Amino acid sequence: MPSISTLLSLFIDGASYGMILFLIASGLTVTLGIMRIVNLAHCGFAMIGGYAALALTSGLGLSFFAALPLAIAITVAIGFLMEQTIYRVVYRRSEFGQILMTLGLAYLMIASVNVLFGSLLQNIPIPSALTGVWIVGGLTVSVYRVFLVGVSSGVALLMWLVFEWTMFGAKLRAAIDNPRMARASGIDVGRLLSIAFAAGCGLAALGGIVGAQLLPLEPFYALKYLVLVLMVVTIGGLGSLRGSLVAGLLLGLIDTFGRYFLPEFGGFVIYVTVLAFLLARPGGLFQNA
Amino acid sequence: MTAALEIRNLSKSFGGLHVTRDVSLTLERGARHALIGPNGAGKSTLVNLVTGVLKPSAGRILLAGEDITDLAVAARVRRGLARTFQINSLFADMTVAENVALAVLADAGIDARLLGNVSHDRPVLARVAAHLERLNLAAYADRLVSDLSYGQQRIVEIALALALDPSVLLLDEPAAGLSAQDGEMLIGLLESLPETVSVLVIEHDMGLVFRFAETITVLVDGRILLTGTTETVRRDQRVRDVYLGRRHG
Amino acid sequence: MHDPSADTDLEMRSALRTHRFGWFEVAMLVAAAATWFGLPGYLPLATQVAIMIIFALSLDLALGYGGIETLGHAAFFGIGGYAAGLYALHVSSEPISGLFVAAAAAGLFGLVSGVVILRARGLALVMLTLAVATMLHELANSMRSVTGGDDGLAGYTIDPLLGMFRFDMFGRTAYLYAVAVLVVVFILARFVANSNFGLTVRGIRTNPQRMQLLGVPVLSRLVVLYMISGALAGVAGGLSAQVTRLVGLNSLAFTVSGNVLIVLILGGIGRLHGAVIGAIVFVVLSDRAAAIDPFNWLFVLGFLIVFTVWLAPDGISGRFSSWTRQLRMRGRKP
Repeated sequence: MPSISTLLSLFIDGASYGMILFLIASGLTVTLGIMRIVNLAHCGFAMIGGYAALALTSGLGLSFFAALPLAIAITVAIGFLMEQTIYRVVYRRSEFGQILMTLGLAYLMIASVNVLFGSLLQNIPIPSALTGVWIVGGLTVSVYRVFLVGVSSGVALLMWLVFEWTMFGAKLRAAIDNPRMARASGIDVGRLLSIAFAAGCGLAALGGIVGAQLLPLEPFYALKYLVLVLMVVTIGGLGSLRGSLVAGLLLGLIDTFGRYFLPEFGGFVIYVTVLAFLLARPGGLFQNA
Repeated sequence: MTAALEIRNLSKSFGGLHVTRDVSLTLERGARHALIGPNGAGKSTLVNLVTGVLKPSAGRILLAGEDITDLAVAARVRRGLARTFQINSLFADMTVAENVALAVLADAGIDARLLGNVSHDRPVLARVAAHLERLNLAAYADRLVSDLSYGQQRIVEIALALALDPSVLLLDEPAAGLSAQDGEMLIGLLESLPETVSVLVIEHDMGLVFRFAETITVLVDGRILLTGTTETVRRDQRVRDVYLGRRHG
Repeated sequence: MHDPSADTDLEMRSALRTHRFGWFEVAMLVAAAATWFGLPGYLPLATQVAIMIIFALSLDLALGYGGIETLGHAAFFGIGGYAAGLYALHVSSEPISGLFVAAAAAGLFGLVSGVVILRARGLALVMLTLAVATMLHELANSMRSVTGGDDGLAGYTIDPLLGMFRFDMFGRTAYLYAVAVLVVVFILARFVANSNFGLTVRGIRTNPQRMQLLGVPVLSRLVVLYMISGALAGVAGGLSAQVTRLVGLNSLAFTVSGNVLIVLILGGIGRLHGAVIGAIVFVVLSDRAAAIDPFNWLFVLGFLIVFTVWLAPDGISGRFSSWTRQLRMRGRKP
């Protein structure tokens, strides 16, 4: 039986992993929820954010905390541009056509990143303030992991506030619930989608940057974690931020604890769990529309 | 004589919305039965309940005496139930011949056969040709259904149901959108159906209803207002009220 | 004496649009022979083409004919490969029986997974196929003692074909073997496509609800199709394992599923020929590109997918047949 300290570490590890998945998945669940737009290139934006931060810190010598918002802004800009141009074509395709086209976009992202940064695994240098461990009453916790949970929780709270308490959030919820009704009541769903898309890219970028310690940067990042993120979205229910949060946390914890208690089976545990869940409840944890 | 189709106390609710309320209806063998009622009365829902697309909240459905309430859609069809749709549900990017062939193969129970070439099966080809001849579609055999006119597509919609050799035929507004000429052809087609086919038609086109139907059921707000012969229903004041909006049953 | 029923037969026959052997098949045979005689140095590459064609044909049956959208077809390829490799390692080095084992293993997996996931449609189904394939990849990674993990299975020998033809290092026997298997698989695929079953699954692809209302048990038909498709994909995987004498985790990787999809998009879905055209274009291109710069191959792939889906959604063979259809329409009496 592992010690309390180990269990706590595992918990924080799993929770922080799950929160990163949530951050990345949040944008995808919203765009999928509004327009049923399947965007397999979504993780690519997390990757772009990570690499942008890498370039700003390692390349230009900026501090981590300065590079963070800047890298997010760059990713949002790229995402917005792509949405206004390439994705216009994607929108008009059938569901499977969207899957294929966005897959192609993901390939392009991978290739671009490889040309610019090479194919080796990379880490974003984190400030010394966030390294090391804290010792709290005999228990050891990683500072960075706590930082992760903190930042993600803060952002999740912010998202919740916007979603539930602002006009924008209300319109978003309406559009997710019933896009045609929303349009009929005068909501500019197209513009809403563009904003949500860009915001989603930003959130993904945040996840990619702060999560680079857990999900190291490499060109194949865009596809490597896609399956996991898609699972978070599907289990949580399309269009449900709350669902993605819960699903992300669950998957993160199951994966971390699974790998610890069944090391021979490593990543297998999480996929079996996901499959079992998807088959039992294809609509997700929080059925939304 | 067992009725071709018997609906007993069928009810359907979606949450608090009662769409079908305690509907009982008997379709005799060889019947020419029409189901009429204002929009939103629940006519299409009734057809969906009978075919199995929707599960009832209460009630039973019997096909030739056999309780089919718990059977899947495909199982009911295999026992002789067929329907057409108000809005065409065809195999749009396949040819007319392929559309009818699908029904013929399914009806003959050979749709899953892996041996042999479907286009070399003379009996199947003959049956497809016969169906197309009867519906004046023979010249369009190799045309894609999506290339046909709306009226012709409606005919294919009916062809799909007829090719199944059904014992009970449920037609959901078959005349919808048809020109006068095509409408005449439709009535001729329906009148030429043999005694072995029992027909229930949902229609708004009263001309077709009064020419074709022997029995009429009036459905209002999910409930049956009355069932009777064409004459009885024509004269009934309540029916006139319903259609003129004065009172609901 | 003129037989009118024969005329109707002919019209009906063409109206059912089954696959007929024609100049394309002849061209394929000619190309195969030409490669053997004229390009002896390229036999290993041509063998890869043949394997990819088989793989693409299997996907075309599931996707093009049955409408089963999958991003996880690599599962069958990998199962076939590992089955053939393990068979050669532990049971017998005889190649043809090895292919049967590969087909059986993959087909069985198709049956089991099909029953479980084919109730879903659209995005949900795509997700499930992805989950299943990724799960298998992880499983193979975990079962290191059986599969060799990261290093893969190697060191198994393959007996001479039919006891006579040794697998030489120039790839001559391998090529003939692959082409022979391809011919058999093509005929089988064509059989399925032209059968009543083939028409039925095309109907299911087009309008599954209507098929139910024709009395067809849709799920059962799809499971059988998935099983057949899986078995043929397993043959491709097994063939690859036997010919290269190596099978590893990369046979279960996402890129394998992605690549075979690209092959079909390029060549055209639902017309069998598309698998051939797409495979040739893809394998040759990737070989050339890999020689130049392996990562920039992804640029080419990416552009290929995006532009093909955008501009030629029916692929190369689709463009071609829509041209010929337009020509035929023009020549037709009004």
